Amino acid sequence: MEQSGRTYSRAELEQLLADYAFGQLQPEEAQRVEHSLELYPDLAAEVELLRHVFAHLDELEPMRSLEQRSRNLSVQVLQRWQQEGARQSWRWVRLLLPVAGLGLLLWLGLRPPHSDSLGHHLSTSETVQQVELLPETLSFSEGLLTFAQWSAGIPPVARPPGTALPVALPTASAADSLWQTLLLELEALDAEATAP
Amino acid sequence: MPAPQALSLASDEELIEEFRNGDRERAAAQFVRRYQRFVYSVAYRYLGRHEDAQDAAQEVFLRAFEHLHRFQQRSTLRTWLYRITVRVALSMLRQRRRFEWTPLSQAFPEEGEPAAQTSTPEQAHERQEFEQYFLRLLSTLPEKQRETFVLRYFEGLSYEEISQMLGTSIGGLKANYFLAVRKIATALLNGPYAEEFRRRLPQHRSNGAERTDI
Repeated sequence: MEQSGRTYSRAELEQLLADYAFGQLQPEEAQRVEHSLELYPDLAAEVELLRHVFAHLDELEPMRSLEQRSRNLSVQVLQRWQQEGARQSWRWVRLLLPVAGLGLLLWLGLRPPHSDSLGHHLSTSETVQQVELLPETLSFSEGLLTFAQWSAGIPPVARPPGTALPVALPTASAADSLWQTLLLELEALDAEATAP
Repeated sequence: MPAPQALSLASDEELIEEFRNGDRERAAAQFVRRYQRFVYSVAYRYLGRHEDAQDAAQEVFLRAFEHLHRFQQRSTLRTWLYRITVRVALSMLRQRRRFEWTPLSQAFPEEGEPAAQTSTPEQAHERQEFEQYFLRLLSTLPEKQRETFVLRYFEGLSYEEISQMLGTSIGGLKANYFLAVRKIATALLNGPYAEEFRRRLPQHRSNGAERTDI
């Protein structure tokens, strides 16, 4: 911009024209634009045209409906905010439910066999002649297997001596030991079915 | 007897402070009332539908409430809200385009307009039609020109503030503003409402020419 001169160049003037036409310039700047417009009558005519067109545009208020439509927004937003806040507190409960369910499942699987009806059911099985004493507590995989059997309604099988489940499988993962246990159980069932 | 506490918080800083450490609900209500028109207007220009603009504006304020206590005041609240609004609106547009494709220039459907109480139904209808036409006209402008024009002309923001919002230099904004004003005036003088606009012009301008290019 020509800070020292009294007039703007045409390019500078064009940048200020809209603000000048709509009265958005500082008084000093507006005065300088007026001086400059004397040099460019076509731009002066354009200012006049813009003022008339936009004065009529203002009368038609094309953006007025936005004012009306956004008027009740605060009520809607605050209602949703409160609802979301209430939902936030329930979110913890929703997260805790599956965890609690899993905990219950594990607890059922790991309980000592004689402490409830399941344990009793196991210890009074009459499907074999030689009953092996079950260990006082079950390993993790045995617990899961016992629970699965109980859930599926499969009668528990006591093993003859020599085929007892290993109480711990230190080198195998939990999944592997569960699989091995299942295989042993299936073999025992098979032997029982084929016995005379 | 002491006067009841004023419901109006003077500055944005006071409002943020009240939200952080005072009456949150009161500050939130004031916050929405202060910026609802602005947020709605930006959302509507991007989305072109009043229902979508309503949804977007609500989402913007809910997101703002979530983060307002961490607001650093490196920009103004209006600039911050503008950015959130554009992000929400663009995300809604992307979602909408998965199901349908509507060019922005045709994105302004016929909608029921709350009629002004002082106008007849015919006047209200005409006003509504003009609004739809004008918004379509705006949507034909390049985005930077459209945003600069609306933020400067309708929202009355300073170039500094618009520059923060749009990331454009002030010189660039001034050029955009002038170009947008020129294009809008030319379109109004040559579009379906040309006769009405020309009638208002000084005599030497409106006579003769069939088409007016500024």
